[in-house]
Amino acid sequence: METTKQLLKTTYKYVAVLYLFSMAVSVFWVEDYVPFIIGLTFGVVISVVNFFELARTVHQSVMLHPKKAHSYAIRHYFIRFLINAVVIFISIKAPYINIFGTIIGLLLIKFVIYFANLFNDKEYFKNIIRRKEGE
Amino acid sequence: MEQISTKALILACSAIGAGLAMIAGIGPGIGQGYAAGKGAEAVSKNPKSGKQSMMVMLLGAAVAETSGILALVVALIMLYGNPLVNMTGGTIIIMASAVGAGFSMIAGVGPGIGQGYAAGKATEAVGKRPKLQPMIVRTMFLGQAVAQTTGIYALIISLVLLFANPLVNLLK
Repeated sequence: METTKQLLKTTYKYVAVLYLFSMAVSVFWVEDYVPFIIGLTFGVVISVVNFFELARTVHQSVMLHPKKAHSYAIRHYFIRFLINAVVIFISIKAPYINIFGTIIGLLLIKFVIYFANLFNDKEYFKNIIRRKEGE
Repeated sequence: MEQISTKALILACSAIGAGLAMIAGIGPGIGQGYAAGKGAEAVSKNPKSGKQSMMVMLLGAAVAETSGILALVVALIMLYGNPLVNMTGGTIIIMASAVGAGFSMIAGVGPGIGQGYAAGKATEAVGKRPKLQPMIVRTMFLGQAVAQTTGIYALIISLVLLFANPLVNLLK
């Protein structure tokens, strides 16, 4: 079984790969790619930090009473929310950062989580679409 | 009586729209809180499966945050990079579009709560049957991915109203 540390490591590894891929694609597809790459880097760094903070919150909250865990998780969610707000604000205001790069960077980790955990077993999907009338 | 400029009206409506968009931030908060409560419950019932429960909760909660980020993007674009200010055409349509763009983002409450609920239930299930963790995680993600779609539709409508408003052209 994967532990939280291993999960963080695996997720960060995939994020790094996707980040490099996005950077390479942006060089060919985005006209002014330097602000885009700065935005992408900014977004990825913050999302990685936020994911680490979320892991810490989860670790702490499971040790609390369910009601306390509820409010603790909400409090920490709003801290991360504020961090994201500051990052997006800076990206909109700073002319040397492309806001779309930052948004993609912030959401990159979500794609990684989806694809690394949802599409890692072909059998699961085969089982969903298999006809079961004859069984 | 003092005349109010059209630009001021559009800016005022953008402020309302930005505020409305931020309502979507509540959803992930409720969802994550629910997941955390369920996680604490699962670990207290079955401490042996604590690591697996935590992992499921972490993954589920991370995905549940997405709607909040999308709402933030729309609200901050409306405040600091508003494309409607320089738009020409029917002022009332532009004003309504600013409010509408914010309104549409309220849909993000649904995915936020729903994804958090799925994360909470999955955490609870892993606490009961740790051996089935991979299957439960995958099922949770499938449900969360489907739940996210309405939030993405809302984002698309909001961005269309802001950046490629078709209503202004209909007036010409």
